[in-house]
Amino acid sequence: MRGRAAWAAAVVIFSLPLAACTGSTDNSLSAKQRSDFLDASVHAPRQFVFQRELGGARSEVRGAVADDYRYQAEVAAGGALLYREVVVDDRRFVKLDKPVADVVAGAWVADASGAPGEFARRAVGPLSGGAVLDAVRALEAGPDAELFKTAVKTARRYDPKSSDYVKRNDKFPPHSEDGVRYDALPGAYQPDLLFRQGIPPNLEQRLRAAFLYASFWFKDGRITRIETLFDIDVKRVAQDMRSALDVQAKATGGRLDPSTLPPTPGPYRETYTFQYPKDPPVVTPPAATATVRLPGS
Amino acid sequence: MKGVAALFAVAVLGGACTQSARLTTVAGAEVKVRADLLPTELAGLAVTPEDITKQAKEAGGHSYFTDSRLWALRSGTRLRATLQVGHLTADAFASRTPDDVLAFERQIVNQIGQAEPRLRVLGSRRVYVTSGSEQPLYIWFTGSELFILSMAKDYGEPRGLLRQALELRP
Repeated sequence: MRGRAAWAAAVVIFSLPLAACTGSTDNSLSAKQRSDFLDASVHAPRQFVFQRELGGARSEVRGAVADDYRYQAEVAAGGALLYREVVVDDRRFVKLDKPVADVVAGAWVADASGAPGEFARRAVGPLSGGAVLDAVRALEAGPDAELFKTAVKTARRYDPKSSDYVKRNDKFPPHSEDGVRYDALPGAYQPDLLFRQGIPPNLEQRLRAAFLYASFWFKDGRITRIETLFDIDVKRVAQDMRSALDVQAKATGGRLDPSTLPPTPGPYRETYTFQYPKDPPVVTPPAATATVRLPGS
Repeated sequence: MKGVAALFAVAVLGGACTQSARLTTVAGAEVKVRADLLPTELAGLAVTPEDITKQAKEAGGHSYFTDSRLWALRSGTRLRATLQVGHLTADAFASRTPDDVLAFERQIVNQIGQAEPRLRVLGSRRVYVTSGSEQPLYIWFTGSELFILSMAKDYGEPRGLLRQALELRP
């Protein structure tokens, strides 16, 4: 899913260009701070909102986590609620806002496939549970956490009064209520290097390394907000890819086949916000009217 | 590196414990895991103690356990899960910093599972989820005890069983 992919990209970004900026560490998070923030946030009961804007379309997952196996959320697109979801241990329940295929709307149904498995490959259909799980596991332990730790490690404290501050790199609105902000910047976009041997197989990841900005907010020892902006110049990148393939084709005596040009990913903005209420959310299974196999699940 | 007798759970689940047997403990070790730790039924599965004498002997002194017991959980005659509880040697759980404890736990878990372990927190309990021989493994520590819950791959309610197993108090 997109969220996980974004973290993967963040590693590339933040581990390459900022490696040269390690001279000053007083405006970065210490290893202990990073560890403490993560430990206090990753598995904590919480409320969350994940918002994504892509090509003018906006999607949102808003929910609550009681613990790692009990959570609930609402999934919306374009401001309209699509469905609600509740996961309690091995069971998953869904309530559609509008009927999909043979599944009725307005009543809780149990997903015949159950809750998303721990290791099983998930389906990617709109009702598969992947959207909610990705939002719930945004700060996931395991491999994703390592990616996250790398991104946080290279972030620098946001300070518009600093001599290092560059206005054009300031991509996110202020959120003073969300605590202290740390920013991580992408590396340079170098099409000559990127497309030297054609289109790289990990194109999206490589492009994120060059265009993804990220911010992390911390408050009361916990992560409260993460924002990312994939600020790609689609036209320019598309042209660079076309030129690279054209050169490559001519070198072999052929002609560019436009169908070999992969689509250029569009810009997007993602925002995660987290709250940690005094009274942890309680998630209980709803009364389901039927057990159904959900489309795309 | 000491071997971990915890591998019993995986090995036994693979075939040896298809019938109940007399309970034994590690020869010569002081018994510290209660024989009545588990009820006769857990999450609707019948609980029976299993004989792990052979594996214990093979582990010999190269174990972090001073004592270990294994229970089989069945639905009818069908083995669905095993739960191994091992009492750790004093040096294994001696008082250390929280970071030391986490490092030790991860070291043990990495020896038991074949997949990159994932940490899950249920209530106040840290549970490591991994797999062995394609079977999900849930591993947690309670001070001096190590719990290893292994399940058949097709068992339908692993987390429900885990919840109940987490309630066990050594």
